Amino acid sequence: MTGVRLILKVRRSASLLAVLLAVAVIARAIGSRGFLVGDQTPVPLPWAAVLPVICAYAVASSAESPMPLAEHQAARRMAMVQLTYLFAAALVAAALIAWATAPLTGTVTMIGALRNYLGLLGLSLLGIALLGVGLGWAVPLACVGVGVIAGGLPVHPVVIDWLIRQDRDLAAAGFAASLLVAGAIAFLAPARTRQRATRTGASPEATG
Amino acid sequence: MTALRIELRRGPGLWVLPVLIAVGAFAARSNMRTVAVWTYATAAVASAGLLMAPVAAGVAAWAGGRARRRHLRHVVLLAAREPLAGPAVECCAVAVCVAVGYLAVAGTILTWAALTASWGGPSWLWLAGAGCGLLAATALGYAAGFLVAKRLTPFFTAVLTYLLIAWNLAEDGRWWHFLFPATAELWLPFDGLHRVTLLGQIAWLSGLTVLPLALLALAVRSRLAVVASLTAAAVVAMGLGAGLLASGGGRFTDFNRDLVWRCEGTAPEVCIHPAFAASLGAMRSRADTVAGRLRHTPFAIRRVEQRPRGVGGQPTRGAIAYALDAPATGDYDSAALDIATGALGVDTSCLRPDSPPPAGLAMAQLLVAWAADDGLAFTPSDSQQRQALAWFKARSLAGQQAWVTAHAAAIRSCSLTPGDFR
Repeated sequence: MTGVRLILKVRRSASLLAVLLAVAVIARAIGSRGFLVGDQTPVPLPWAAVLPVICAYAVASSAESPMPLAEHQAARRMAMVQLTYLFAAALVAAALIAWATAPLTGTVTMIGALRNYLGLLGLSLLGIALLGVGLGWAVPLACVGVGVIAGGLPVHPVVIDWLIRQDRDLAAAGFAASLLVAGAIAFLAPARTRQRATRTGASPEATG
Repeated sequence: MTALRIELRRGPGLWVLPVLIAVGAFAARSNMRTVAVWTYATAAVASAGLLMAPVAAGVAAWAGGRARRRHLRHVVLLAAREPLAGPAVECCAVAVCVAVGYLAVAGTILTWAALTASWGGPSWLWLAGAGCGLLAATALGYAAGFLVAKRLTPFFTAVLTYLLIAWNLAEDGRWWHFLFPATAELWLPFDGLHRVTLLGQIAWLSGLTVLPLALLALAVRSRLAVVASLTAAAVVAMGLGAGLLASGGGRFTDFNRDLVWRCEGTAPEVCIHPAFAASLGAMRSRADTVAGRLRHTPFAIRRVEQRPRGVGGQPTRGAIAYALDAPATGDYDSAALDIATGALGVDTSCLRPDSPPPAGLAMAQLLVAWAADDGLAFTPSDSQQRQALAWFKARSLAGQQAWVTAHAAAIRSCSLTPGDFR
């Protein structure tokens, strides 16, 4: 149990849980209000896209180890621990998103929110793998911004507007799933873990 | 300049510049009906901040927290310079990259507009205001990152900026709407921009850019003179800006300042705003169609004028008004329906506000669709309407015109029924 406790502590899971709970409560309270995005062809600001991006990035940034060198040199296989932690945190966030978006009505409801969450989790993992925790948010957030604005355009491919497509759109679900897989592969790749560990060992400044 | 050059090389600005340009161009393109009208092109450039501001604020927050995250703040504070110089240079480096991104988006769209637009020009004041908004978002983001140097500060700064901007979009018409760093407005060629609001916005956003620097000066214990002068400058600019905006009352445009036309043809004479001069040929074709259908009837038209929707939409005496939003086929077809509706008087007889549509509306729509030669504008809802449509279409043009002349009174009173079509 000591190992689990230490992993939870070093990943700041208490802070993560507090953030997820706060965001879910706020989202449930104000999610049904009709904020509009776009001046000429306004679309409702989809909490089903904004809430998932906050939760997804919080989960992904929490999963990034702040001690890559120590974990790389550990006797245990930390890759499996990392995967298990990511899965557990993602599951907790998914449950909270499902609760927060349960009152949503319209074309994108709880199912769409969970789909968006999984796709944005993949984008968050991809962003962190490419740019680090400090700047990795630019990838999922830019995607949300572009997707929401694309809602006002007449023609748009699934790559752009998958976030605001209706719940049962298979193309959007497939795209979200492929993003999750791509993000998980990029994030958990042994080469990246090794590179982070060696870079941290060479220069303690590089973790920020 | 050396410090700025070094900071540009090691800071995040250049890395994020392509993302800034990409999201700015996307936001601008999404809000642009056509680049061939200067007012629309200007509005599109100004709306680039909708997506650029959150990214700029987040990146600036990351840059603001970097020194503390990497335990380098003592290096900055021990340097033989004013304590604010280090943070100010870091903030300036990000601001330079954001400004370059904005200028790239603006330059591309405005050059494109200069090559295609036929009348008018951009509003430099509005474009300057949008640029000030981006700089304000950058400075505020930097201060947030500097003062709260946590791992997720950049992310939450970007999300909060995005949410605030998105929420404020729905608050159009209030004076404080323009206090936010990015807004999206509609500017029609007929309207002028309200200078007081634009000047107020620029003053407020300039103050909002300086205010975070004052806070930073306080945080790094700069000399009192520096803190006081920055605070005073920020307070004066923000106070002046808020005062101007409040006196403007949220008014962004001066309605119908440019009610001018370029006209061609006779019976009907087709008049269009010079900004849409390239559409004159297409509109003449649509107007000629309507005129041809309604010739030899009491509804013959002599002159049609492009007018703004809503306020100022009433045509000059003896003319028919139509609205045209963009030089596209769908908009021309819609304008043709406007002309047919105005010529037959359907807008005044059948479409009364605050009262349910009369029974004769469907048959009036049949005639509008016929006059505009637009088969898609009327869809029969029952067998009687289908029979009426088939009967009317089977007649020759002369026969149709004679029928319209005979039923002019019923058309004017919006009392046509399917039974009249026989």
